[in-house]
Amino acid sequence: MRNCRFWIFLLGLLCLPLANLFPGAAALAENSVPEINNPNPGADLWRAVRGHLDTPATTQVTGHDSAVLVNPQGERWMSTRNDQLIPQGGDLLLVVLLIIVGVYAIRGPVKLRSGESGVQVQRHSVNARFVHWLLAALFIVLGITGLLLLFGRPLLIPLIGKSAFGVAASASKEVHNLLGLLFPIALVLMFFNLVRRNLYEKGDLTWFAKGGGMLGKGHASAGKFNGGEKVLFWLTVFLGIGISVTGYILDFPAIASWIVTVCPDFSQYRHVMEYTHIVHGVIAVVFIALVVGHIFLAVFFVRGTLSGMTRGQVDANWAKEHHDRWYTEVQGDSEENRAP
Amino acid sequence: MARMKFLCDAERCIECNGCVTACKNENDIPWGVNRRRVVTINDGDHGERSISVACMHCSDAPCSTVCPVDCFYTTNDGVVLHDKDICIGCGYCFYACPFGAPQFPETGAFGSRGKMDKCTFCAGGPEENNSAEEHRKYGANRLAEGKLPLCAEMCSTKALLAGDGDKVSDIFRERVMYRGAGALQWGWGVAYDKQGIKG
Repeated sequence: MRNCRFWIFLLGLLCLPLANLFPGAAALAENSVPEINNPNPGADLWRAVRGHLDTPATTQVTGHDSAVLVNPQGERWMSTRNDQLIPQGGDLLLVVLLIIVGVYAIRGPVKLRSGESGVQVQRHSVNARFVHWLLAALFIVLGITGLLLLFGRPLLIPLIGKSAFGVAASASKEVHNLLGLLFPIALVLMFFNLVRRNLYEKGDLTWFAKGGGMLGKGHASAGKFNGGEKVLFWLTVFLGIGISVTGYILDFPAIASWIVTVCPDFSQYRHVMEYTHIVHGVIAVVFIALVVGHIFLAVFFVRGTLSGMTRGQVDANWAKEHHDRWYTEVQGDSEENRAP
Repeated sequence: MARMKFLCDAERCIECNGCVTACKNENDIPWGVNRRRVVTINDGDHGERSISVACMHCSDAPCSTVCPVDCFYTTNDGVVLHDKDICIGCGYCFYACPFGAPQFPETGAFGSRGKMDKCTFCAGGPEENNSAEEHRKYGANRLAEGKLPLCAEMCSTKALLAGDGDKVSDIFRERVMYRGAGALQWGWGVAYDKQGIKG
């Protein structure tokens, strides 16, 4: 057997030079795989189905993106929402809560050093308090309903079951969609009411350098609003604009259909909704983290602050210790008023 | 267990929209909802092909993955169904679905989305089989009667196949073997003046 193979191999080697003598044999071998000059339309069909070719597609069904057979971008949206927005958004909120608990545990609440004076100073007008609480109430309702829709499936369904959660989620969706319409109105009111005192003033940077009084020694001087409160104001304005614009697009899909017609970057209605949804979700998580910090500072950490937003008045010693420049300003005003 | 699948033979579909009509009629689908649609590529041009598409009943369904209320479930036959009592009509499944299967009737004020509706493979929903409640919410449950989806049953050219994945594959494989593919297809030489194969 072995010998036989050897002889065939040797014969083949001897025949190799012969191939050049008969060029027709080589041509025959090439022709055994014939060249196709009329391409199979099936190949391009499946490229078109996947959307890789710019081929016209029509359907008699009317609806969003009906003529699109396969929309591969949905998977990108799905993985961004499920693998990034939900876990990382949840992590961010947890980290913020941990920082808050840590700061409270280590530093403890900031109490008035000289105690309460009993003298009250008017801090926020009725108008300012109204717009603040209007915005706050909308934010809390929208925040809770939004968090329920984002984190409800991993957190609440294991606890209360699908049927009960379905009812809660349905109510959340309706409330979120309807009250969300009012959010920009409250935002605009809040902006015009508070913007005058939230512009940059001399001394704001010093306030930051002293970490708002947390770093180093000595008091961090501040006007009516300190640097941190001004950052809160402007972040609220810009995050609020972002969340309102994206929210209105999600609420009125007709806007998304219009964007597709004017913006060539979006070829489909769905793509607009997908991008908008992710932007809305990211802003929402950051916004909630910011407001959680705000509530912590105003209600739990810096004692004596809350009454300024509820009764409208704060203790004179609180004003002296936290907003000294504003306090002297107010005292000057009242003396001027008293003078005549 | 059988694994239910749809297959549309693009070489056979003639865009008669019979499947769309059959589906609408059998399931009493409201206006504006299209569980099935026929899409034509290169309409009126060389290489025109039509494909009928509905929910493909994915084994790893994206709609189910993104649903915030987890209302989807897969039956033992591999059919992806959803519970309209839990669905909140958020539209996420429509963003995630590659095939554009989820549909939303416009209900309520300002044309807001109602509960999602999609192809059920004529398998109804979680309610009792063929109950009035099931028919009102999900349409027909032909699978429970031992029948296959009406769209495929009524297809005039048998382009749309539905049923156990293995059997559908066998039928399609047999077709491809008989008619060949591309330039080896029956009739290619007549259609393209024997230009298919050079030589």
